[in-house]
Amino acid sequence: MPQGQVNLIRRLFTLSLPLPIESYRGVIAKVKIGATKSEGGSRSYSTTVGGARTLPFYTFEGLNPPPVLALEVYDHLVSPPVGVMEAFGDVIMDPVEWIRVVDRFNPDIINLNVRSISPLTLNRSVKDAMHLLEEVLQATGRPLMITGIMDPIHTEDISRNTEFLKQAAECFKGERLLIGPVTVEAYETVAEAALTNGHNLLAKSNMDVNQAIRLNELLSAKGVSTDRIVVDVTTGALGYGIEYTLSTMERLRLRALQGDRMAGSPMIFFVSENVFISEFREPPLNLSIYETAAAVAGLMSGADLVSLFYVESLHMVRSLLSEFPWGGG
Amino acid sequence: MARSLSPLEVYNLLPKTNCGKCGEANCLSFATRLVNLEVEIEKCPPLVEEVKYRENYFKLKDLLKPLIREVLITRGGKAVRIGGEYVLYRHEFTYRRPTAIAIDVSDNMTPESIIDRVKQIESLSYPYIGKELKLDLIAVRSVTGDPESFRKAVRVVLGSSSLPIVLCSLNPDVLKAGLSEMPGDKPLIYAATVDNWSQMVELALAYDCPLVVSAPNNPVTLKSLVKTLLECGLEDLVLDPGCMGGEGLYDTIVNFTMLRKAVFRANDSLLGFPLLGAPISVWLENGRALDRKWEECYLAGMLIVRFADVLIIHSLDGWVILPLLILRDNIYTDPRKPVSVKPGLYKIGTPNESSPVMFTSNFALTYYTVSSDIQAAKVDAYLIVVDTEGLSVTSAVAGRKLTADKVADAVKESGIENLVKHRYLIIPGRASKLSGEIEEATNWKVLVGPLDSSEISKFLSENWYGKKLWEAGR
Ligand code: SF4
Repeated sequence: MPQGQVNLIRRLFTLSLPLPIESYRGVIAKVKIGATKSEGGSRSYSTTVGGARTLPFYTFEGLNPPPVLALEVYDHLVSPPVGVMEAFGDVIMDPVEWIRVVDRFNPDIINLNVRSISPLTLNRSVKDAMHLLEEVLQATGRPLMITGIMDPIHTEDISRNTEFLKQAAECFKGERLLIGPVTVEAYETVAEAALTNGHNLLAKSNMDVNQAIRLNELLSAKGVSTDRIVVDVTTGALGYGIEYTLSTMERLRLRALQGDRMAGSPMIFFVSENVFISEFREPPLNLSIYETAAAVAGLMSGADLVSLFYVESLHMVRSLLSEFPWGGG
Repeated sequence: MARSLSPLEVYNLLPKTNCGKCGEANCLSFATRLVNLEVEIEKCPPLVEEVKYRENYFKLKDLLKPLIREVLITRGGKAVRIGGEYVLYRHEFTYRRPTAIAIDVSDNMTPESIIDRVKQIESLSYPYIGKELKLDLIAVRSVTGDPESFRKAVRVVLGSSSLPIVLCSLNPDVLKAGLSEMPGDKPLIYAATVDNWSQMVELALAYDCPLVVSAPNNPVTLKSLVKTLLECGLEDLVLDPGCMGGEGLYDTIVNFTMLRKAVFRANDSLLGFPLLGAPISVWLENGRALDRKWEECYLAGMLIVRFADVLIIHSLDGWVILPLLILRDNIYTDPRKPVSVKPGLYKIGTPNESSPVMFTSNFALTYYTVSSDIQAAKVDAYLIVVDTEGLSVTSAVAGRKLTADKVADAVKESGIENLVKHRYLIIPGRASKLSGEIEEATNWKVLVGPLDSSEISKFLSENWYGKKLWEAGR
């Protein structure tokens, strides 16, 4: 049975295709991370996150600045996942050595997660953690992101995290670090410390557009402007609820582009930690390609900063990004 | 259908008799379900049967039509549906027809190696939150250019697999040899181009099959071809805007994005067809096979996120395919409903009064992982699924969707108190922070389980069976 009505057509039609270009009112704020000597810090360069004017990879509408890629290092890994020892070897036992290794692979910034300060785990003292940070700043000249307890829920964790971030802000005044997380429940002390000492904040909310905006409002009431904040709405990785994060990022980005200034801080996408704690663990999995696939999905949903674990993922993501044109923002 | 469609608009075209034949209480609730695509319009008998509603029926059909046409690729009783999308962004509604993935075989392969590969394609399957992740299609490619070789390859594939087929050649004679082997089926024909379109139209009409329209990196020509083919009487089209890795990656992503956006934001209905991507093209470049596989994987991944409705892929390694199948499943999950299982008490094996009692979240992935780990450990246990609104344990604890009070309620409602003689509750390692509060709220003694459920077996043998805690009673 033929489809529809059959006509005799001998020549190709020629049509035009008007580009479906949307123009946006909002621009994503630019957050500068890392201060060089001349800027009062000790970093060898600084890097800028944000500045997007349209959705990612909609290059026919405009060119966004290139996303920033971070490699991450943990001061304590509970049980290193399969493949991690093979990838990094013993250095993962020593964060300073680990940072030296990671440094060689040219990440734009390094994310050090000092998770062992949690009173519920290793209970590392804040003083001890400051010593570690001191060594870390010596070990690399790259801009740094310093994170504490990523999901501070219990009062002990919340106060320890706050104490840690406050101290870090004070001890490393002028380095223009990205520190966090701060949450709706606990942000005031760290916000003040960051402001006084010239740092940026990682503002974490759970997959919720309105909560992310609310936290930015609270922070801005404290005097922290959107160009001092990187927003984190990540929860879950590929195979682990990533779709909610992706849609949240896309919605937040659209809100910002449509002109909601409080939605206009750049967004970070954490992939790796979730990749390797993923409850999905089929044997054929290659964790770095898995991480790359997740990172790509995050970038396509609007991530301005992607924090990666595997060096291969960094390499792969960077090489695919190099195929696209980028603007200055 | 525009996503702004309101149930009221739909309601106005329904019979408004509230007769209840659709199984709904009234026409308005049927209208709501129609707008949510939960029911088909044919479920309202009066609308379909009575002449006076005929006009409204057609109006409604039109109103509810997806902006991206749904195209069926069929073989025997199997159908792969592609397209049928209503929105540009996932959060505006939901994506509906998961990107179909085709793996290629070519007509220069020996019959034995075709059979091998086809078996591999068919048997690839990963269990994931209660479903099986699988590949969808086999793409038979002509590389010899010889109709007889193509015919033979198609025969071998048909004889060794039941999957629907994509037939690939730019030579109409070659395609005809393949098409004539599969009467009654609707393989997807790849492809009509500016050079061969008039012969391709004849084939597609004669065999009544969906046809791919291909204009690599030339959306204007693509659109012109679509217009021409529609005028010829074809309806089931699939668009191939070209797909390249490396230096072509940029154009590829731009074309996919632009074409889909043109439909949803510039009302360009000529482009309202499923999009086909062929990451297999990365194999045209030289270099190590390993690099090609990486590249094919992330290119396919980008296209799954960015609007592709069907993909042709060459790599068949689990480490390339698995991330793609999971990503696809995630992206095509309905964002309106969390992937969850019903909260309540689940028995694993045949638990008795001294069996361990654990709880977990109602996020489907967590539940299936935990329950399969308990099964693998070959123990009998009670598993209480707490309503965490579909979040994993970690996220639920962080987001306050899992609290001591919720656990206490779940324990109470489960009736577990009457099923076991002990009062020990094993909680997920990722909820360890709540252990004190849970003890207080439930009055049960808490044992903090492992962070990773794969260690449940070890945990239980050391802490439960080793210590025989239940013998202490309450
Ligand atoms: S069957 Fe049709 S007319 Fe009857 S209640 Fe349902 S929608 Fe209304």
